[in-house]
Amino acid sequence: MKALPERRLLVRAGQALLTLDLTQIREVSGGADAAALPLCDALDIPPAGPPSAALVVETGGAPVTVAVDAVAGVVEVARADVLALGPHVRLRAPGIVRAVMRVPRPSQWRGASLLPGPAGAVGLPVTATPGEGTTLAADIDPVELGKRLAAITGGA
Amino acid sequence: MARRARTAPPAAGQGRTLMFAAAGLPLGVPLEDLLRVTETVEMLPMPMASTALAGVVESLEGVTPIYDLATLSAPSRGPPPRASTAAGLVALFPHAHGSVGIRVDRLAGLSDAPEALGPDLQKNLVAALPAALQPFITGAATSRGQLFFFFSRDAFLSWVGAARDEPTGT
Repeated sequence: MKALPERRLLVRAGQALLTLDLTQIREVSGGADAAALPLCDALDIPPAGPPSAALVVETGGAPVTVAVDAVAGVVEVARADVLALGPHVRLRAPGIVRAVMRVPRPSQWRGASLLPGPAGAVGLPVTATPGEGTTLAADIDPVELGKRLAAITGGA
Repeated sequence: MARRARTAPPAAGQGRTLMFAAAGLPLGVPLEDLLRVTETVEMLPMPMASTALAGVVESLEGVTPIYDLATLSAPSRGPPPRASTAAGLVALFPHAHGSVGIRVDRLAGLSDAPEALGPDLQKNLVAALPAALQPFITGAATSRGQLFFFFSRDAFLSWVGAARDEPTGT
């Protein structure tokens, strides 16, 4: 039986591309939310431009609104494009990244002008627009992300 | 699996040494210790990365972490510097899980016959290096009048595999 592809929300947080578990995302909205926690700060990723979208993320406790630089949309990733992360990749919280995914390089990033929100809940109506070739994204473990956001916001 | 650090630099005539600069230091490594030197176009920075981890790239060996030695040689006071994620040269070493890379500032050629310096002089030169980099250095030599330090692949890979001891910052 052929394995089904993984579906993820592809976002840019600071200088990193991240794939997030769709079941963890309650809402996606365009525009910067001053009260939102920058995801690049929460995950200690080098910053880039100003945030242009906000995500409401389930944490196991109270949901947390995080800001991301941009949203590419939902991507489907074949199992062959899920690349294992070995222990030679030194992380301070090793469980936070569960794999590296080879994803279609988005040709369009959605931010404040392209994704007036709220755009929806689980099962986002936004599909990433694939460009040329592929690029890598860090696949974030939803449980570990929830724990970290809860710890930072005091919502544990 | 941690490997034992080489205790002495390769002797003259034991093979060719690739000379390069990394973290602003002139370094040399036996060609046989290397997989290859390549140019990265883009690197994925990782969440919650160790200070020295610049990011990962996809290589022939799978997901390859790239480390920036410059972060280890920075002064200990103040916040740790971020590893550079800019495109550039990396030297890749074989590892049990694929390969591991370090950022390279520039290549400086090949040496067929490095001339070892006296033991005391080598000791003094190594002692003058940033403390965090000294474990990776096994000696000093010259080639065509240029000083360089022998970089120990085994000591570096042993450091990569060492226990995580950095705070998570929550």
